[in-house]
Amino acid sequence: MSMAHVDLESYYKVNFALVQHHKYSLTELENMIPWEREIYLTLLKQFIEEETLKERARDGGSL
Amino acid sequence: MPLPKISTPTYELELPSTNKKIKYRPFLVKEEKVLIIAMESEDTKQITNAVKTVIKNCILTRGVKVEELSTFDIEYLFLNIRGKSVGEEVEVLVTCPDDGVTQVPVVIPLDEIKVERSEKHSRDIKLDENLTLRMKYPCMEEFVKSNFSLSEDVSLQDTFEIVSACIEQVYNEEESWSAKDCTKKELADFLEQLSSKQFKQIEGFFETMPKLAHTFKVKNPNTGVESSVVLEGLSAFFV
Repeated sequence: MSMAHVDLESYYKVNFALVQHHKYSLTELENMIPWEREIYLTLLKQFIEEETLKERARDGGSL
Repeated sequence: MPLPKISTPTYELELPSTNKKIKYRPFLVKEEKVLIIAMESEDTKQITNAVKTVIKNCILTRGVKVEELSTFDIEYLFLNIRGKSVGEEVEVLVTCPDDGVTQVPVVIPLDEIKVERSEKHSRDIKLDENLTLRMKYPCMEEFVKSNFSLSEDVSLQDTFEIVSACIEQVYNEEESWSAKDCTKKELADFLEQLSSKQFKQIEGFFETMPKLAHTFKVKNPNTGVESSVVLEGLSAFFV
């Protein structure tokens, strides 16, 4: 059944990553609406990708 | 220190059974966790209880007793709450009816799913020239008992219990007998007197009861045949 859109394993993995690496608190995360948390995740992924590209560009420039 | 303000948006819907407007909010991540845990247990009783708890938390209108709502009200409510919490579309894998094998993914907008009523349906069952039976819809408890009991087989005893729990009253032109004033034994004895034809009429009440339904067309990619598919009941949309 897919009444919820995530499974328990990925639920805990994502929460752990957000708390451990991105300064969110568990209370903040648990009090979000599920689609809100999805938006923050998408934005965070975009941000990380942009930062990675910038870093690669910097590394390429310095070589 | 003042109490914290609740920052979730609120929505309104009409309960299908009474047309009464009620306010609700989306469920939160912590409430979704309760649902996920229940679903991963694969214990349907636990799933139903989780759905019930989440619905209770999300209804903001006072005086709505989830235990007393009919099954189709609960299904409709849950569908709407889930839509506002996760997203208003679900993707279901539909088996094409023409070959019964090919599965096609179909996106269903949750707001298009309505409670369908049958024109044949009536809560009043005329037992004979004199007596009429007025039924009430099964509520959450009956729904759990009948659908999610641990044993797979529904015994005759279970069927009788469900039917007797759904009797509201028996009446004729002069008198009425409320089921609330009767014992379980009295109701069971009353049901045992019914003929098979009368019992069939009661079955008809349950079969034609309002239910969540959505009809759409699906095209089999292998055969090119387009067929109409009807999904009924909450679980059909979340398989």
